[in-house]
Amino acid sequence: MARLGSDTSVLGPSTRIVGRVTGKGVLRVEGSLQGDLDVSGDAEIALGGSVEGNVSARSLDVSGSLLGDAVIEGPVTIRSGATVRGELRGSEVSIEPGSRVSVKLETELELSLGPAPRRR
Amino acid sequence: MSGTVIGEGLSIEGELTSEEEVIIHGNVRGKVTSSDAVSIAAGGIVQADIAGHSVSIAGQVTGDVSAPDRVDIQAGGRLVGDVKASRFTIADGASFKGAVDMEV
Repeated sequence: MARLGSDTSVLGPSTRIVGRVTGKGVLRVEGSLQGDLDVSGDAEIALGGSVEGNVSARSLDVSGSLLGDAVIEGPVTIRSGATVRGELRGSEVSIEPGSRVSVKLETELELSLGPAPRRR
Repeated sequence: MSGTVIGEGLSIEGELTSEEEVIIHGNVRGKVTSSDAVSIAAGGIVQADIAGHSVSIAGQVTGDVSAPDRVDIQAGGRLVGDVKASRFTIADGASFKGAVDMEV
């Protein structure tokens, strides 16, 4: 197994948590979490991962699925293939084409909806 | 890469179930179940019943521990709770309080 920093947490693909996850550091969710997630570092919901609950983190990167509200200090990135439903608050929010998203957005600075259409 | 790692600063309150290796550096309160190995690293604090294929304890555990293969308390590790396993070791420098059932 690869060495990870001790403040890095990973919930592997077969791991399922029912409850609350809080604390310091970075968290990558490859499995499923039913409950709230509150970390001081970056949170990532990987492809195949799912979170049903509210998320609070420094930044959020979603390739899997999120059902719940997110309050994020920094950027929120919703990648192609992701499913997100809830309210999102972040310093900036980017939503890639190919994601299934039904959200209410609150962002301070910038709203980027993927790359701009090409013109000639 | 597969496996589950609960980092140093992280706390889980609830139930964790898995089919892969679980390594706990942080805090868990509730229940931990895996069909693979479970390790409580030095510094890890677990207040939960733990069931794993094998369980290795270098941190602090309060709760019952069961494993079809083995339970090992490493030096510096501490377990308060009952153990059910076919093999069980307590290293020099470890502490343990509880009952042992080795299915004889």
